[in-house]
Amino acid sequence: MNIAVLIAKRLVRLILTLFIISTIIFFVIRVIPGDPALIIGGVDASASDLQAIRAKLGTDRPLAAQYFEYLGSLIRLDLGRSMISDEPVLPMILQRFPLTLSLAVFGLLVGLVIAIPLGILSAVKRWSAWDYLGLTLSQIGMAIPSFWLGILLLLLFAVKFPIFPLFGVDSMLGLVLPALSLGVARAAILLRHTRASMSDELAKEYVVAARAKGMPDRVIRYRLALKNALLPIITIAGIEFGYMLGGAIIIEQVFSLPGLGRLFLYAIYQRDFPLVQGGVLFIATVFSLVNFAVDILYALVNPKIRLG
Amino acid sequence: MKSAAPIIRIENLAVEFADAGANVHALRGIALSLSADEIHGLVGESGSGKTVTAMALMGLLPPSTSKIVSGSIQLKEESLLSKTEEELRAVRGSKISMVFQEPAKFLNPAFTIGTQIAETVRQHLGMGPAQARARALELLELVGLGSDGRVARAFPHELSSGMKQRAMIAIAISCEPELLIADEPTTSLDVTLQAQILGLLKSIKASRHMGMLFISHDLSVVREIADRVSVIYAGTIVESGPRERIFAKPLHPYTALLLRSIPDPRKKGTKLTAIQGQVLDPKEEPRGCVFAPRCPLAKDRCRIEKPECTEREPDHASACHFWGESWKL
Repeated sequence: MNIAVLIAKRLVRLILTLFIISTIIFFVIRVIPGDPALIIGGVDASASDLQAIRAKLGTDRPLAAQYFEYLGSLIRLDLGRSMISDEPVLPMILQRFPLTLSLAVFGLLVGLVIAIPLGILSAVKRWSAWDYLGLTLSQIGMAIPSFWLGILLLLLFAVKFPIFPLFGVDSMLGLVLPALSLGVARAAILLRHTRASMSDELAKEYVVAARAKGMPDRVIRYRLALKNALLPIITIAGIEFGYMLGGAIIIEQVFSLPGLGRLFLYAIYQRDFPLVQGGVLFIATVFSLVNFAVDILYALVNPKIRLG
Repeated sequence: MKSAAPIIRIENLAVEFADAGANVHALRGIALSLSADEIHGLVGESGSGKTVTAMALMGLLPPSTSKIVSGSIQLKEESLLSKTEEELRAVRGSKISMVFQEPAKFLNPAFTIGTQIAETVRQHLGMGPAQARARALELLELVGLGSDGRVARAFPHELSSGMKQRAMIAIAISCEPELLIADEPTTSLDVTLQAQILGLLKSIKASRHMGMLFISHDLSVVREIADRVSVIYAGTIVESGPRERIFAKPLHPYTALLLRSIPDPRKKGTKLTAIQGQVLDPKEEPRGCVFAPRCPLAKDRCRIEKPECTEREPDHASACHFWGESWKL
């Protein structure tokens, strides 16, 4: 299988996934009990008010007609208009997305920078002081909720020692603390995976063969075994990146960052159905795209997949 | 007992492993020597100490669990056991190299065959990248994998198991070693490939003047390739001599019984003989012969006096008190 075939296959899968996700979102919102119009209008809204809301939502028409119209608009990349501001949903999301994305990217970088060297060290020096340090740190990292870490970091590095801004992102400096609080928890998980993967590789027969060839330990570990060990980490990192996008939404609250999180949270508070629906679909799409990219990347670096 | 000067001389080598407080006697003081231009077959059941011997020669016994209790290993004038890890690294892959049983596992899946050959010659011969690549192509051609570089660019999983084993042989001979250890190199291959690989090893030995320690559990394979044969049982070499002598007139009951368990097309229909009893528990330290508990000929003397593996007939050593007698097994 060459790379073009693989991309085509994954692309078909991606489109299918997106179709299923959008269908689920559509029906979940409409099939669950409760009239959105009633929720939006409130219990004391008049019948004509409710009718107006339904007309605006389109929920007064048959379900099938709504569904096909919904799919049609998705193809045109039209996610509808906000109930509150009447702005089109997609531009609202896209305007906020770069902040959330950069938060997730920096969070992932923080995670990788912490986890990979420590994980390798843990695996190479198994059951040594380094290993216990790594395992303990990862235990702590997993146990600490990221929002709580965020608050601690703010108190320490924005209030007590005002190195970083308390809120907002006027400069890249504003991303440091949010990315740290996001990255540390994920680093804990990445560290465990790196340690496990690296330990597995170091126990393999080709390592014995490399020693029998007289290769130095340094080369065996950091070149010959590491290349194999990092392959599964790519997949894990991709999944972690998806989580970071979700986690970023919470961290944005802690650091008062105007990202997707704030947008969606207010949309939920204000019962802005099109925005909520568009937001869920958008996040799901980004998640699927990340997985798609990871699959392709994995195939590019793993010789077994490339031609296998 | 040697015609040419030996390139490898193992004397009284005893290796123990620590296993849950008990000492496992992996090698109980073996002697073995091997000259250039010689393929020396080391035959034994699994657990008899064949691979431990190979690992001891490579200096790859795990220091945390194993201990060399006594003995010496000489590579020409050098004493291998007194070398530091750093010095041993210069020997491994360069003066002594090794071919393993399952090439699929012992080749690195993430690197091309060409890279895996080139890194060895770069490590030991100090070649530059281009020179090493050229050397890799040369070696691949030598082992019958073509000279067009297709195999050099391939990853291990893209090759058949026979090709993988050839590639591993190319790596092992890349630095023109004095000694090539082949640990069951054909066991994972089917019969046709087995014959091809044996042929390749023989031709390499002939053209490169290297000594070869050929480790196998299979006497019929050893008969095809070895010039000399040593039979190892429970960490003890029980018999050692030229191939024809071993196969024609074994001087140890264990060898004789092993020979009887080889399937022979001429004796089709008759039952194969299995050796009765259990292999000696490696944790035990018998006073007498290690084979006595399973030996149909064992007498009282065998249980109290350990037989030395010494030359009984010219160039033919046996560790049996009753080597000269005519046996009814």
